[in-house]
Amino acid sequence: MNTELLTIKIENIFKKYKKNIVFNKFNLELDASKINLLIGYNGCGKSTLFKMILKLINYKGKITTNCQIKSYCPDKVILPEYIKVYDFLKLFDLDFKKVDCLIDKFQLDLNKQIKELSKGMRQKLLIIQCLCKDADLYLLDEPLSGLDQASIEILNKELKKLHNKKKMIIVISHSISNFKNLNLNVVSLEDSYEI
Amino acid sequence: MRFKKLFKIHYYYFFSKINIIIVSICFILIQLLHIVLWQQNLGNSVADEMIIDFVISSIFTIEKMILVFFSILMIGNFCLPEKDDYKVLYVYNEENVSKFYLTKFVTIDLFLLGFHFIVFIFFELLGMLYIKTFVVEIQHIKFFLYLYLIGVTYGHLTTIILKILPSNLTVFIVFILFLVSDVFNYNWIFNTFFPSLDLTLLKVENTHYDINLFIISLFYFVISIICQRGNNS
Repeated sequence: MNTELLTIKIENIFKKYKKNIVFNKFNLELDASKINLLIGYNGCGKSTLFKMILKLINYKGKITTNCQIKSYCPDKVILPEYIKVYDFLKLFDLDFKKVDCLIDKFQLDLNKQIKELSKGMRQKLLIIQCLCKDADLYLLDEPLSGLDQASIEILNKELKKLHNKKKMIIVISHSISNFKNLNLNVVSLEDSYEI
Repeated sequence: MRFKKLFKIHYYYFFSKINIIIVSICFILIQLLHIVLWQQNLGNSVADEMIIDFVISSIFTIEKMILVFFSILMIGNFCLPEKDDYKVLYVYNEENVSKFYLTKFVTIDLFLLGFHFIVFIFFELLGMLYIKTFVVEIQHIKFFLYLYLIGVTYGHLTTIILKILPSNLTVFIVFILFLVSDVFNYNWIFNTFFPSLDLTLLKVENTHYDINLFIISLFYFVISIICQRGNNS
């Protein structure tokens, strides 16, 4: 097992969408000693930062990390309609003991097709696919969206378990108060600019 | 991620409600076309060879338009940026991007091959139903094979143009390009890159056309994967 502290170093990042500059000489260092919570106003580049870490978009600058395997829970994504919940999860390389456990906790109906799921249920599905992967880095973009209070508490417990296993976690959220009893490192992207 | 899993993923994403509706409409439309043309032309006259040839060439002419448009629509629609966002769940590095798009295009191309095969089978069955002397001919097989290759060629061309012009209109632009190539089908330079299907070719052996069509479809297939790899905006 890797005992080295997992880190991400973001150096001199420049990113723009057409004429809109999202990051200009942006620097940030995060590690797994705490659960990292990214906050900031809409459009400040929180999701863009995730996509850059995952190398899903191009950027100028340097991102270095010792996290080998990454797991991602996106904010918005199209899900296939005509597939049952469990069959959908089988499309990922997951720890299925944990999947069964979380399905039970989140009270997801395995035999339902995804098209029958509500927004909250779809969100739970995305969280399960993210947390049940054996990764070094967990990136969760607005995971609380559509979740009820009980589910938020389940998510908090799961994040705590992963944190105890020295996994690196970065969460984007507008709500700090929902992450109770967690060892948080709150990072505001609004303060991090060097323009 | 293993290839088998990626194929499954694309398969499930491909069969969305809208795609199922489009496929069903296209299939029903083609079968109605077959039935109407056979019925209309065989109702009042003896089924001599000339009439059969006329009906078949009429079917092929209309089917050519429908199936090429269908292929362009299916491939184009499946690769529109907003329909492509599920890759964030599966793609975390450069190598995976190529695998992801290779399997995506193979999935849609295999689906289209299957669809063309089913249309071909129904064409033969209906022909046999209406004319006792109707037999499966090599020309029919060639027609559907050519049509499939032309469809995927223009389909992949659509995905390339979508990188420059990410709009629903791209599908129509590429279809117009096909229509233009069909009209100017004697300009070999234009037709090398934008192939058309001349029905008279079915009756003669034209190895040059076969090779060109195969190579150009492969060329657009490879280019479309390369373009998707550089998708990161």
